Amino acid sequence: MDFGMLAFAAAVAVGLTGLATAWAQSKIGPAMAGTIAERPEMVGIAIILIAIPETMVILGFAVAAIIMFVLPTLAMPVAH
Amino acid sequence: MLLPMSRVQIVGTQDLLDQTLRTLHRLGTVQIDEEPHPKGAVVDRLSLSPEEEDLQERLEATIARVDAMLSEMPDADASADAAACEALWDEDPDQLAAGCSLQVDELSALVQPLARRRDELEAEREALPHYEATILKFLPLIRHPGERETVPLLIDRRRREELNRLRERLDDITNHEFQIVTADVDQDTIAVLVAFDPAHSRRVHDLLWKESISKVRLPENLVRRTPKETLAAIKERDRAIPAELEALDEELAALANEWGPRLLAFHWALRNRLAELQVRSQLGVTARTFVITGWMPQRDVVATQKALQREVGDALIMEEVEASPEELHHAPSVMSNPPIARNFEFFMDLLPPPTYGTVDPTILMAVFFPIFFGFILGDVAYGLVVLGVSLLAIRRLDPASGMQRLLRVLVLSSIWCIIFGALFGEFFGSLGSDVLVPRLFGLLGIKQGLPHPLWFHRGHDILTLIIVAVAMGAIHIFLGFILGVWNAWLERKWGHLIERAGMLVLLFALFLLVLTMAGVLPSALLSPVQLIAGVLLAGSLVVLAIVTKVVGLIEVFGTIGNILSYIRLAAIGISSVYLAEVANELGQIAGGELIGIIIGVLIGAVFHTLNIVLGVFSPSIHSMRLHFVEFFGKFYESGGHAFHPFAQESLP
Repeated sequence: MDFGMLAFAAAVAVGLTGLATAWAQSKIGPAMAGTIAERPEMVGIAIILIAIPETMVILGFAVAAIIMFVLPTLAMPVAH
Repeated sequence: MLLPMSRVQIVGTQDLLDQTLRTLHRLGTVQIDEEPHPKGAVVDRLSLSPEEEDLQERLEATIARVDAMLSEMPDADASADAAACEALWDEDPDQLAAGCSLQVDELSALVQPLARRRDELEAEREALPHYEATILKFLPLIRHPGERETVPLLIDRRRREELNRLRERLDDITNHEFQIVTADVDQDTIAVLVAFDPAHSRRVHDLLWKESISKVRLPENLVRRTPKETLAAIKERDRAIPAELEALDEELAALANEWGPRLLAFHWALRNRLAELQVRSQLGVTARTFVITGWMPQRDVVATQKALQREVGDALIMEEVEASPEELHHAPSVMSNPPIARNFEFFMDLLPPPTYGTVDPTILMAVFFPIFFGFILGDVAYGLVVLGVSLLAIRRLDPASGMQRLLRVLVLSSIWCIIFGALFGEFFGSLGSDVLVPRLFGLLGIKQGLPHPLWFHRGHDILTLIIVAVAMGAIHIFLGFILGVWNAWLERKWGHLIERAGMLVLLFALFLLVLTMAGVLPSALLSPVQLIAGVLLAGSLVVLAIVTKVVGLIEVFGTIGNILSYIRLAAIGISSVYLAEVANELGQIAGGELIGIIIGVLIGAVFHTLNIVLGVFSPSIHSMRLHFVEFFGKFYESGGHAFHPFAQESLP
């Protein structure tokens, strides 16, 4: 299996999910900053809401890790 | 954990009210209900008499005056004397307010002129550059002022055509003996300088006034014969003002040191007196008695009863009453944790308190947060640096500072960082295992290959790292569901209990399935374990579907996602490993000569320092996030109420 293609695929997996996370958090962040400015007691909920989209990039990392470390072993021929 | 709370009721004759409130205020153990809810009685709300309302207004006005005086003076070096504060608090409130007012009047007569002068000097200092810039605009317009009088003017650009009419009028008045020069100040304003024989001064000024033309006005103390002299005066004033301000500040500081402790004591006593007056509207009354209802920690009940008996007398009755389930649900939550876990209340303060009677996870956070932090950063050298800096900061900072708790959390976390660093064999990344240890072995004459980490190398065994991180997540989430079952039991919410127990069984079944697929079980056990896992999985799914309808089944995927979220422990750890690699690689670029080693050490130190700084923030935030989102989401009941006891303010 071409290592370059694997690396590219892993990069796409992390890159796209990173973009998605950044886009989601760019919407939530300013809203939460305004909320906390008016109601400081909401800081805990704000942290939770900002943190929720991070799961996307973590799952992207998981897919990248599978691509880089699991797929090559599956593609290797089994010795008899 | 949360302290057990007692619902209390205090009843006494109305003549005992003042002393009762004074004692409760001093003890600070009871949170008085907003409205009285006595058991077995119907009471009216206590309302203030006209005299008490008048006193309240006077206290509030006096407090405002003391606040204003404190804000005008710099902070005093000394704090209020405790004995003086207590003596003031014992004074009759009318006398207290009156005495404080007199003292504030006396101080005000000293402070206000100084504060006013200070404001004037600040305003003058701010205006001087503006005057200077305006004069500098005019300076080039005058080449040879000679004996002529000059008048600087500022004209709106829209009135530019009026300049021609002004020229004609000046020509008539001064008999052709005048000069006008112009320059642009900005897009809206033109600077105009009119120079003329001083003999025509009055008529020229009259003309300018009639035409409503703005002259550049300077403060009297800056106006000189010529613009150059005016500029010199401005510069002189600019040099003199800081010294005047410094002298004023010293006078104000001396007054602050002399009067500050007294004002702080007044402020403290007045606020406490006001609080005792304001709380009366929360009490109940009958024809002859008053009633106080509220909550206090169970451990303080006996001591409070004894104190009331001693200071108020036997005519006062304080008793514990049984709280209804609804009242218990709204009871305040007071955390009481061991000293080590108390530091983690810093994070718990970011969330609403847990509902009374449910689990307080502070102790668990004290266990897992440092482990996650250590697992992410995982480097012996980084851990030692963070430990050293944290201990140093703890010694240098004020013990009452809020940062102390955070620093103690870092101390604990850095210890786990050292432990995991030893397990992963990391000392400034691979610098320890690849460079330092082999050289040390070489010096000692020990012939041995590269040392192996005690557990595994994070940079090389990434899959193992991910599996360990997911396993930690599974354990953490599993524990969260156990606590969820426990919370549901405490709150007698049977639906929630079954739902969370179902999720527990489902997770356990998935765990068994993973074991069978991972090939770690003996072959004889494979089939039985698979059968058990299948039965448990099917059973739990059926139970979840019945209890939660479809929502619970969707929640299964959410839970799996939560467990996978712990992969961030591996992901951020790997980024730390490779940042350390980069630091080591760059440090070796300079070569092996002495100068190269020195440069290399400096470069490596810079990048390792950056990695340590990132390594303090990132693991902390992610460890906190894993607790708040993934872990607490399984059990935390956040509908609690903070405990606000009727207590005197802390001494200033």
